[in-house]
Parts: sequence; C-alpha cells; structure tokens
Amino acid sequence: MTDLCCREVSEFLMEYFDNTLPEDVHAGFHGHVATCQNCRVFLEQYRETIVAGQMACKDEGAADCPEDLVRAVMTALGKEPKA
Amino acid sequence: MNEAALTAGLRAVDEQVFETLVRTYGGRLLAVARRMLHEEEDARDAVQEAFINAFRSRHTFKGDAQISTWLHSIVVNVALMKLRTRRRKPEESIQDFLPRFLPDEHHAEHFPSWTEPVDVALSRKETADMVRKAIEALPETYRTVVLLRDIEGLSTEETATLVDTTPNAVKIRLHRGRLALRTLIAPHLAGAHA
Ligand SMILES: [Zn+2]
Repeated sequence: MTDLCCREVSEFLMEYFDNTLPEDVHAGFHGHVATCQNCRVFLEQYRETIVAGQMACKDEGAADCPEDLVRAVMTALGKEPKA
Repeated sequence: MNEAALTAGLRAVDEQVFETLVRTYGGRLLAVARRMLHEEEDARDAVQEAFINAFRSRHTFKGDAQISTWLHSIVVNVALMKLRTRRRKPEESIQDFLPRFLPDEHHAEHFPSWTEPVDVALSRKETADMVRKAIEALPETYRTVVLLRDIEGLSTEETATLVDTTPNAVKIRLHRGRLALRTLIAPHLAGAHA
C-alpha cells in the first residue's frame, strides 16, 4: 500500500502510541515516518508532551492539606445529621 | 451504655477516622481540584464537598477498592459538576493550536528538535510551571479530557461516562488536546536552553 501523508500520520499518532494502529495503515505509517524527518520529530514531541504534562503535575499532590481546609471540612462534617 | 451513647460514640470514631483521611488525602485532592477548576476558592469548596459526600456514603465504601481511588473519583465528580454549573463563556476554538498542513498534505511548519530530554527540562521548576500554564490555557472541553486521561489516569470509558459523551469523542478530544498542548509548550522547549 502507499505511504501515508504528514496529515494522516498526525491523525494516527494516538493509535500509534496505543499500539492500536489499524492493520491496513501500519506499513503506510511507518513508511512515511522513515522518510520524513519532520514527522519523526513531531511524533517524538507528541510522546514527550504527554510525559511533560504528567511530570508537571506529579508533585503537586505531595503537599499537605492546609490546616484551615481540614478545619473547614471537619466543621462541615459536624453539621451532618446524626447517622 | 444506652443506644444513644453508643451511636454518638460510633459517630465520634467515624469523625476521628475521617479527620485522618482529610489530613492524608486532602492535599492530593486539592491538587486535583485546582487543576480542574483553577480558582482556589472553587477548588477548596470542591474538596470540602467531596469529603462531605464521602462521609455520607462512607458505609457504602467497598473494602476491595482503594480509599485513595474512591476519594479521587468523588472529587473529580464534584469538580466536573462545578465546571458544568459555572460554564458561561463560549469556548475558544482549538483550531489555532492544531498543526497546519499545506495543500500537498505536508506539515506547513518545520519542527525544530527540543534541546534536551523532556525529563531533564521538567526537572526545572519554571519549565514545570510553564507546562501547567499551558494545560490551563487549553479550551475547557479538551483540557478536562487531557487531565482525566493523561494526568488523573482514568480510562477512555471512565472519562466518557464522567463527561457524558462517547468513548470516541473522548479519543478525539484527547488527541487534539495533546496536539494543542504540544503547540503551546514547543516554543519553550526548542532552543530556549541550548
Ligand atoms: Zn511527514
């Protein structure tokens, strides 16, 4: 089959990284990427973007819960009807 | 001890256990709510509401699930509810952030390589801040799906149920959201630290 174009490669990036590329586009996808430097860079940056998002958000949750929020929650719970 | 005293005692134990839960998981839930809602006050409200919902349904918690997962799904639900009720401004188009193509279907743009591995770049606080701001700048429909799928680690199906759409729509939004996020962060990662 014929190779994909840049636009099609861009549309199939998610499937590529999920390993769910449709059987019939598999060869065409790899055929294009092998010859197109721009798409190789783009493909790698697509993957790195996901990693960047995960890394940027990773440490945020390590912080303690602010004491005034703990108090606010416990005060609100105290007003809950008795079970 | 009469029954009323016993009930009060159980309740006190429940509250004590709950305070430990709030201290243990509150920070993490607050981070989730901040990412989804931005406004500090909204985020705190969401966490408080989530713990109240959790307290009310504490007897339905199944021991085979993880408490952190259970609380996480409650706060995500509360935050999504808040997003729905406060949505008023028309959403910006994502089109400007997607790759453009020439009539011959080649990329219209040349992509310079990034100057260092992404984990090295992200170890700098200012780069991590930049990426968080870029996520924040995504149009809400896409940002929510990127957050739920890539950051919070939910499945396509779970995300589809939560945002009330089809798994296929989730996949399309996730893909476009990632493409847009790449466009937003790329200028900062190509050449800036060469
Ligand atoms: Zn190409």
